[in-house]
Amino acid sequence: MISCTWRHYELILEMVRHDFTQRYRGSYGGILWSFANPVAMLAVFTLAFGGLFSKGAYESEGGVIYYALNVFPGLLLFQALAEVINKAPTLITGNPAYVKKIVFPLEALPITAVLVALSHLFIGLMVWGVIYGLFFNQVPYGAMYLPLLLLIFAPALLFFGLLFSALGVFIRDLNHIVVPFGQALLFLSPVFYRTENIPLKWQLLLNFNPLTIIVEQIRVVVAQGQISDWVGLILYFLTASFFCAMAWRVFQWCRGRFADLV
Amino acid sequence: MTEIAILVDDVSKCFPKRRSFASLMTSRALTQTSEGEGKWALRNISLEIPSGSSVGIIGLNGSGKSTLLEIIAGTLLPTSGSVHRQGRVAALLELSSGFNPDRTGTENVLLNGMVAGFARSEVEQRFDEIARFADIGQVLDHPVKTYSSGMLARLAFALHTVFTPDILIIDEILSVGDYFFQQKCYRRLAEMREAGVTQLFVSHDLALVRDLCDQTAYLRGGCLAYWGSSSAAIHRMMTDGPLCDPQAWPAHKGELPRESQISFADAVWQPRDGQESRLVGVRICREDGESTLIHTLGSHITIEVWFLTSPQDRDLIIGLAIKNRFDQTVTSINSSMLGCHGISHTGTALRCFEFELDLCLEGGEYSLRLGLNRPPESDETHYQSLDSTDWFGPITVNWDYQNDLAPFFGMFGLPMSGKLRSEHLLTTLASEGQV
Repeated sequence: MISCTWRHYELILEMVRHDFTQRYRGSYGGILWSFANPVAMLAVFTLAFGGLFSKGAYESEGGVIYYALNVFPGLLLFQALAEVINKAPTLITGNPAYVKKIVFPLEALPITAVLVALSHLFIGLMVWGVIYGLFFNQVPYGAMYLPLLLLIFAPALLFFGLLFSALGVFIRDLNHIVVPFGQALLFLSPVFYRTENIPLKWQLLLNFNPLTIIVEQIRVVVAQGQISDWVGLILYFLTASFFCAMAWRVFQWCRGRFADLV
Repeated sequence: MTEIAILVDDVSKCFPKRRSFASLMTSRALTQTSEGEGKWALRNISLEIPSGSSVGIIGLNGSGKSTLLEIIAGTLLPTSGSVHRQGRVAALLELSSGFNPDRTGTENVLLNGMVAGFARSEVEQRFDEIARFADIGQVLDHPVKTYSSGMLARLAFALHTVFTPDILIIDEILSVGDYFFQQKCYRRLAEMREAGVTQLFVSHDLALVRDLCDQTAYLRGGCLAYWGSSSAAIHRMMTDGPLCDPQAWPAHKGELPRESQISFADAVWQPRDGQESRLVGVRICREDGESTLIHTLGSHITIEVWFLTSPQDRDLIIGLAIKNRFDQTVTSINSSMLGCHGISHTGTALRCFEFELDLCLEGGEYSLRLGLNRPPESDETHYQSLDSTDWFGPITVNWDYQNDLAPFFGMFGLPMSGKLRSEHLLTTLASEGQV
């Protein structure tokens, strides 16, 4: 899997680069939108949680801005996951020329999708870090751990990317299923609340969510400047890598039949 | 001993039917296609293509040519059998093959070069060469979706031939290029052949196949009908029997055909579905009853038109039109003009109408079209077309003008008779001499 990725790394980089330029082609803002979007999103969330919803729950902990800034990394993380799982089912079916007309390393498609999502996530986190620093007049040193957390998050993303893009060819209904599935992942993860604040039986369920531990650790990293659950993260990374390798197998096993069905 | 560049070993390909989610769950759809379902595009094809040779693949539309190329190129996997390739394959399977319509020509060249396994730097190095060969100027910086088909062909051909592959596969794309570009391409192909590149062509341009290919495979209904010298393969294709074989239908044994029993595998047009009257098959027979597309000038031929009648269509009329290679209508006639009025039937029936004619046409190629019509309503003047074939052919009319005296010269031999009539002798030199 790694050797295959390495062999095509130039191709994959080119595709990631193209995805960025394509997304903003023809717009006046260009690549600036990659930065402007997180800012706008953060503003909307601040407004929503500060102005519209009750201020009760998090008032004590430092106010609306604090809450919004706390929620934001988790939300970005979810966005990355949502981007991958929403895009995956149509990755193969949407590129029939790559499937039928040339011998194309198809696994480059989900890998590209994952890298694009991670890049956006990274940009979002940078924007968030800057705003955080401006508001609290302190550099969030824990942010140094963020790239590491992203790396740990990557296999999980790739798992969904590979699995859903392969299955999407056989089960066309998948792209209608993934959106509610993504929403479920969002609300079953401690993005908007803390794990300690919900009933115990739900906490157990939360542990199966691939977002949970990363979201929590980002929060910890920001608050305390260090990672609190190394064992959990390593276990998570290994499990995700294992599943990712399985998804790779599934993908390779399915790809022979792609051309018949696309 | 020559090396084998491509070994196609007993390859069959079946395109499975699309299934619903429910049947997908209950069947073995994910593992293997069960036989009998889906459409068989290829059956038991075996070919050994020697290294450095040029091979053509010919056949009518839908005979499996492109499927075979795709399997050889490796984009499709065969349902059974295997393909072995020796060396790097470059495939031009379709005009825009592998091009992303939103990217510029330059980006596409880069991307496709990298897909083919070259490093970015290598592609960049050869880029000027590609641009020079394609010769489409500034357009390279515009998105590929704005290209004409000729520009696409130029770029694709340049891209795939600059990096000399070991095997080059071309599916009918050069025909869109202009005269000079085609010349350039053929020169390049000849160079590559010199260099020992194995070449594979699919083309409907039979003259090209004859000139370029050492060997040709002729596919018919997904089977390998002939594999050998190009001219023999072309001859086989041109002489091959009925376009759609009515003999195979159970109707001949006195029962009505059911939809599923009629095979259209090698028909040149696709009959429409539905209940209305329609054409199902055409045979063109020599006097001895053999069905062929090659006939001798002046010979007596029969054109059999097989059609299904349905009770609601009365007074059917069968029409026949013949065009020559300049697209001029040579003749157009129908059953009503021939005195055969009111073809109808009270039920659904398979029927046959025969046009009999003496083939008094100048030697050459002709195309045919047959139609099933209803007579005009009282307030109309035109026949109402119920069904018609495409223009199909070519029907070849043969005559050896060099060595045999033709029964006539010019476009047609009009039905004409001549006789010697009067015997009023003005001078009787001969008789005088005798007397």
